[in-house]
Amino acid sequence: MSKEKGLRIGCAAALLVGMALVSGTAHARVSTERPGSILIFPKVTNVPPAQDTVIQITNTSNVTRHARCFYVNGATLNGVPLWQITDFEIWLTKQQPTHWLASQGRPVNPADSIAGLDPGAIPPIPPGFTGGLVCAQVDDSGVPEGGNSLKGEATLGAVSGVIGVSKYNAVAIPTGTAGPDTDALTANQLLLDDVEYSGCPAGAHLNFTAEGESDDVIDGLGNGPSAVSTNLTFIPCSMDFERLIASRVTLSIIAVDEMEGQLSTSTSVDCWRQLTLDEIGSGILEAVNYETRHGYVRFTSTADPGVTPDGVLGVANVLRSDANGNTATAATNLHFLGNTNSTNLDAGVITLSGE
Amino acid sequence: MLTSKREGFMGAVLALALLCLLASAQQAQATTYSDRGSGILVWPKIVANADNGVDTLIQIANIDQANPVAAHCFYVNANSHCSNTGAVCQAPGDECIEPGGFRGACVPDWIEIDFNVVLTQDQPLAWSALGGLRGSDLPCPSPGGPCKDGQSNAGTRVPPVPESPFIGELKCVQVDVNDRRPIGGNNLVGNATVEGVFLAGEGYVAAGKYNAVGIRALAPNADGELIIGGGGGVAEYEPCAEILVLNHLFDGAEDPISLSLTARTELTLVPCSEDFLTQRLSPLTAQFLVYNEFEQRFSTSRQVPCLLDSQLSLIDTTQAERSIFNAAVSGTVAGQTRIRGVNGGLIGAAVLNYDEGPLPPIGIAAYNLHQTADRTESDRIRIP
Repeated sequence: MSKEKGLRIGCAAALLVGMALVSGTAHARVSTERPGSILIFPKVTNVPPAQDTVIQITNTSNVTRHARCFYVNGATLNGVPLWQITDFEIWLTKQQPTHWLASQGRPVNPADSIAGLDPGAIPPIPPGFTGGLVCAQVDDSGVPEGGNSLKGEATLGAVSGVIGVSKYNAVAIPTGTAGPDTDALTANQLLLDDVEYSGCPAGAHLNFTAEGESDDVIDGLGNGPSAVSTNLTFIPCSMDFERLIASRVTLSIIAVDEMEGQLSTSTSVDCWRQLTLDEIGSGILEAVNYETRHGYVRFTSTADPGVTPDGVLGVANVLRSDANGNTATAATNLHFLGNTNSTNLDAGVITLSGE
Repeated sequence: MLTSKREGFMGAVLALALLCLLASAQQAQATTYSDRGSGILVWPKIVANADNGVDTLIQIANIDQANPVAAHCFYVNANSHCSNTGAVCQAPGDECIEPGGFRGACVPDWIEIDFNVVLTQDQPLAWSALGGLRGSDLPCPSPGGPCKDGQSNAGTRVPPVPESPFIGELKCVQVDVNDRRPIGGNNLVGNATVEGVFLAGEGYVAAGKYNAVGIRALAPNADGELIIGGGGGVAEYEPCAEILVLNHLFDGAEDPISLSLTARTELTLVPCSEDFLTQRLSPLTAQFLVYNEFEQRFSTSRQVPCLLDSQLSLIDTTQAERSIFNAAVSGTVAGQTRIRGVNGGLIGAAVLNYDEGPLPPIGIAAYNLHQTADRTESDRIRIP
């Protein structure tokens, strides 16, 4: 056996066993608690004086990382989504955290009042903006790369009158089994297929209080009758920033009450959508129509038979008000549906715009 | 011939090396989950104080669409108590003075109370920490009720937390519906909403919600010792994280939105390992690496007995304005803190408070911590 042959046999054996290992072991999945190579903030708003958003992003690796970010304005004009994109780049040194206020952005100005290394010129979003933020890790030439180095949080708060600060974790999409494509022609197409990047989850769960139902804690503490309202925000996994084509996803919704009673309905998400629970299925989740005070709802993407549906990602923000009209909000990440990669959807594509 | 064999052997060694590389790459992710169904749920922070208007709403659901599940749950009461009066006290520095003027010490405590929750197929339940959940409040208190297939919540009784004020943790382990032994399944999801009704000024409410942290079952062997992670094929549950990562605003930083409130973050950490059988404590040490927006690094460490619940800027000092977590000391508004349990895994949650003058906070927002890397050693939970 020659040296070359020995090495060849050894490498082939390694490859075979390695492939078996890769196929048999779960790789990282879409997560709200682990770093990833694509970050998605489903809800970013600048609606003065009601709400503004603080964005926090951190590079969790020990080398400098770059990211291309896209604000997606999901506001509608006469019922038509604007689908307006604003993109920018950030650079983060090793382990560097950064933050900015969405309405103000963050200029590169070492002499300004915002201490810290400026991560790049971050534009402010306009008043009235309601949408999301997507950041993809890229190399220093702007080509998408793996690394799973980014994590982030968004804090939604009122500009005046305080009332209602809430915080959620950005959804992180890690690289798949092979990592991003490096072909110059197709590199900007980020395939969420479990190979380049992890596939989107098949859906989401939410524990909720029926819309308009009273809150156990506020009533129990003597400030009742109170009321609870849940605001949901969804953004499709697929986005085309090159051609500005809005994705449309049909959501199947199954709500289960505390006595196992099931109600089902569906709705659609065009580009970006927020809705309260009472807007779902003609008010089936309103307290007056709902059998019990608390419930649990399962959202799944649907498509025509034989077609893999596109996934959606979302976040919930719960508004509580007491008898005196005082209010508080609490955001929460949705639980992902599906426990294994086999339940991931593998049809998502995020297409970055050319530089 | 010998050379050929040696070269063939070298190839095999290379194969093994590549294999190890692949295997290690596969392990480079942490595997507790706050966003998927799990076999063990941990709510690191449950607080209640009837006098100060604070309580926690706990939500749990069975995501199995066909079968009931049972959960064996444990409230861990982490209140400290006065050695002389037995009253709840906050910290070792607190005064415990009897009417006669005798002084006692404020002693850290650790008491667990366990109970069972039975959830029918696809069923959500909710209760407040101060209120609990009793028979008549259960949706299906006995078989033959409105729930399908003869399923019911029989066997469920959630006690109110044993003291007010209360600070502690809730852990629930998915167990067999009949014999209450730990089983796989990963069918539990949960949330907690920390709520306050404060009467200061014109009165206001505040709420922050986080997801329970899940530890996913691999193959529990139905005994009372739950082995979380570790090599050699002993693991019954996926491992806890090696490092927790917290993004935060430094304490005392001006809220970027209102420009009038100041930020203050509370961090709660609990150990992955717990011995509910003998109630023996194995304190571990949490090491904190703190990065500001200049990439400058600070570090500190603190012991975690059974639960650490602290304002960030009181972790390393008793004088918050001198803390490395203080905005004036760190020099920037935002920071990243990496937390590593030295001799055991940690699980945590954070609460961002916006203050205007003295406590209580005007607004609160709870959120889950991030994590990286698996622990290679086992953590263990022993249950009765």
